[in-house]
Amino acid sequence: MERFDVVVIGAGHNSLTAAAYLARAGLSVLTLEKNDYIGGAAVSREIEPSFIYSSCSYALSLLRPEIIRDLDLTQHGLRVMPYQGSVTLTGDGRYIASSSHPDVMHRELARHSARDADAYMRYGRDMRQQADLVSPLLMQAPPNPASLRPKELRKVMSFLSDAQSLGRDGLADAIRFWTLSASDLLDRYFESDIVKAHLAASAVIGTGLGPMSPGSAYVMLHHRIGGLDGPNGAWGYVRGGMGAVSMAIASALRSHGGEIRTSSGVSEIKVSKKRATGVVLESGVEIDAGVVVSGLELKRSVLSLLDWKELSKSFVEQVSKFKTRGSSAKLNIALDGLPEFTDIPSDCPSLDGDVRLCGTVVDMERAYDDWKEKVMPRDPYLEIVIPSRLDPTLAPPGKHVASVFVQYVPDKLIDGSWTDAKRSELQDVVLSKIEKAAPGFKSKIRHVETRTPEDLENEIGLTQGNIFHGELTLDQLLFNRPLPELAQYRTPIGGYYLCGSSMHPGGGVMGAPGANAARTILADARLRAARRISA
Amino acid sequence: MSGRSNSFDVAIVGGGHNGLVAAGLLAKAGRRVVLCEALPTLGSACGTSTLVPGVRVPKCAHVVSGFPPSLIRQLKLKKYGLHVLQKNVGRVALDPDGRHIPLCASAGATREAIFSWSSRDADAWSGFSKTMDALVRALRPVYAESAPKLIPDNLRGRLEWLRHYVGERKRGASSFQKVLRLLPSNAADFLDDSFETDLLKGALSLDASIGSFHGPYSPGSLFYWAWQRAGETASASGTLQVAGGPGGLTAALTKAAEAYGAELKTSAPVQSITAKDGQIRGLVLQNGDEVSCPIVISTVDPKATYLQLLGPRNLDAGLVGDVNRIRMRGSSAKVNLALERIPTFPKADESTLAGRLLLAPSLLDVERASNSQKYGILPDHPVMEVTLPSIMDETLTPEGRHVLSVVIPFMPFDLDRGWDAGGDILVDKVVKTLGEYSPDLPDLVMAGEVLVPPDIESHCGVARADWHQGELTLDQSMMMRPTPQLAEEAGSIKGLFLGGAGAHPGGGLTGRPALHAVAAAVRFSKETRL
Repeated sequence: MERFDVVVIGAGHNSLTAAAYLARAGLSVLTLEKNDYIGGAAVSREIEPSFIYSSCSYALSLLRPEIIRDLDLTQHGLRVMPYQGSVTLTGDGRYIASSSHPDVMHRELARHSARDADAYMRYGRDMRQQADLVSPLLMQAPPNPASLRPKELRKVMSFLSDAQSLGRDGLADAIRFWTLSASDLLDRYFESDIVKAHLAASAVIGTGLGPMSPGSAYVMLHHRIGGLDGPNGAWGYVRGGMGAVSMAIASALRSHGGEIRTSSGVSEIKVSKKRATGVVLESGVEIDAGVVVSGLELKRSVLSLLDWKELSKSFVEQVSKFKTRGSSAKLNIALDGLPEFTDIPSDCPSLDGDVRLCGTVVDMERAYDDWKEKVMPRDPYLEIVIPSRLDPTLAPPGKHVASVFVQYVPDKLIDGSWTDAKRSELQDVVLSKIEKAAPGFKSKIRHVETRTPEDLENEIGLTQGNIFHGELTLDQLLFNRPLPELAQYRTPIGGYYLCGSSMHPGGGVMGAPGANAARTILADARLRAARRISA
Repeated sequence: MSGRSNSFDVAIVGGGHNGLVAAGLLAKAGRRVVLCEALPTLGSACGTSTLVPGVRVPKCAHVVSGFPPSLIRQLKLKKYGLHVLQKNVGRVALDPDGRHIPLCASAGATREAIFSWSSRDADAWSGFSKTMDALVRALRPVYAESAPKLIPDNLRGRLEWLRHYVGERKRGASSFQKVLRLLPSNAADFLDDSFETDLLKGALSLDASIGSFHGPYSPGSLFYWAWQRAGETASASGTLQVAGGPGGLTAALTKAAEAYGAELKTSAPVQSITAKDGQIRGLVLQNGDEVSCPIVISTVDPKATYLQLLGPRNLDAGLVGDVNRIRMRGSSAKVNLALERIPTFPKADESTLAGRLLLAPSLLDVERASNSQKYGILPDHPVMEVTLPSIMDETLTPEGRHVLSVVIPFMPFDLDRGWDAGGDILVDKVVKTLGEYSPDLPDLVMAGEVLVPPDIESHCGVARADWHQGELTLDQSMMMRPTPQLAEEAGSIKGLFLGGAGAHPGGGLTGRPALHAVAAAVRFSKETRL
């Protein structure tokens, strides 16, 4: 029987990251993927010949610079092209074309409100300050406030001392960023509804909250903690589509001696005396391992792969209550030409970035209300990117690929699953909305695929289609993510670790959960080795 | 003002129950106290009014929740006429078909009632109650005391935090973790995780969110629920029903305060609070009268206190900005009905009807009601809390007649169609909904009134019809209430204290904001030897 130091389940970007760090440390690592392609939700697919879709995630920002450096991802082919801004179309003729250049942004906002143009400086500064507070927390296991162990207490004290150094008003501000709704936070700075809509858009991506729900301001913050091009929270396209991220990490993994096998789904984890000893593949083949790591979503990792006899009833219950409600769908479209939006000049450079068809905060909130009722979305939030504008490798010359992210789509409808007919209906809703904003769009479509939350679950294991492997609400963040007893990447089964986005710091193609899990595994391995030596 | 001295030790702005508590305590302690109330009557939301001759109704609040027995004793309110009819007034999930679920009776009675709906839920009840108790227990010490400082600047402050931490941590790591996880969570998920019965979840989620701007799906709604419960259970008597309606409490507080020597002025709206060199000088009333005093306790909402009465001129821009941004959107409306006789609710006896009746068929119904508030519209199906105080209280109506009091949450203060038309539509919806539970009720209505949010503001003196004077969200609670700066110091105006719902611990007829303000005022006067 084959034996490896580490078997990693799933070849999404977090699994690959964990595997790469472990291989780099000298361990023998085998990564097993059920699909015939790697990458999970960071994947490029050529479904329509010559057109490369980033079929799930579509833009990059949050991949940790430390990981890019440690794994030498640039050497392994990772190229990111930041886009300079985004466009928000409210559907009533108005638009905002944002820019990363402060003067351009100021001028643009001033078209709608001079006061808001000035307030934006303050907002940007405050956001950066909050992002700076969060950043150090990302590449480490969260402090455990319930632990009485000296090491943990020191961590908690250090965290509290950092909080204290903010001063009363600074700490109060941080509390606001973590607890307010996006709408209420933005109300503290801005008066114009289109400015608020533009900024609130990042609060609704992938979330089971509305822009008026407390806690949605954190999601805005979560989308700003990236550091592609310095501390700007900038977003960009990956050359070759998002799959290039996974390919680069896989290449790094292989360069350190790691092995990846596709079409090798795992059906269970072998456990003996409360320790993981290996895995059993769907084919029946068994592989032994000293350590097993899963990058799958929590419930799959625990409830599908482990024998419940090995787990306490309350643990199983807690895990099954982990919230993973999906709220997003995706359209991937091959186009014969660029869309022409009536409300904005075609030569606006911000069109290189994401184009949001969103209405005002009230419209987004109503879409959220519909989602709670599990009805067919009537007016969903749409975010369109056309990465082929910047990346010529994605489509033939003059042709394009478009990625449409649809927010507030229920993972199941009140009257049942997403049937083909229902999927078509959703597709019509989305395409009609785009057609209204860009007449002639439909005629340019040469291929379109629509992926509902159910499709995302079936294909790549995103439970209930939640793109973050678990909702990003305070009760499921930091030391609560995914559960208080699992926040340190270890499970009740010795030698079995979790490294996916269900773990801190959460989803968004960060790689941080994978890196943090690897660090924990290595630390535990050193400890066990030390104990064995001293024994 | 002729001849009488207008110099006092303490002036109190606002004659709601908090103002009266403060007046009574300070007067009893020997201070010269004047209280100024703008309306012709005292009590604010804690009042009983006459609907039609001979028929009295709780005007706004209909029960007294969390008023400490120790305070009743301290002010000797029973001597001054307070008569408690019921303690620990229970809640009932009302069902149109009669399968009501009493929620605060003995656990056995509750389980039995739930069992008729779902045996699984009946089994889950005790686990749910335990968890709720754990949350409430974690918050109760903070509720009952002054809030610790956000950033303690001395050993005492740090020890206060340590005490709260140790108190909670010693219940075990698992319990501690559970509390930390649930507090930022939402009531809906907690209820969906615990139960399957729609009626049970509906009623509990209404209880969880009544008086809030946010519905039960919102993060923070579990904190709000636990916080309210902490207030209610901080005294062993829980929620009280008082003879004469809440006005009976006001009457006793009034008599007591006057007996102790406080001067209570009604129809005496305050024009401004005067300060000089960062020190309170007194009040100026709208009629021109002046009151001179070194201490002012304001029980009106913080926005009015700082932006109208004190005036932005006296304050730094940061404070003005923060006060301006206090969110106060949790508005309610009230419908009061006089009934010919007791209405028939299927399978509900008088002891069931003597409690707080929660009319909320499901979690989504409560959430939908909260949704419409966001858009300034009326809900299709309002959810509501109903009481029939005349069942236990014979003083409200002639024999055989009854009154029915309805609190409707999630009412937008600014209604899209305007409240002139909206009020009638609301009453119709309310009576129609009541008719679904009690078919004979609509025909028994002899008279009725609706107080829409602007009415509650102008007739009862409750700004924005928000009985918390500021939403009780995580960022506007405890050490951040009403703003982080004001939680610690009254905006560097020495001698000014906030004693109303807008201060910690929030609204409800608890008298606790007044207790904290009085303690702070007494400390201040000792320190400054005034």
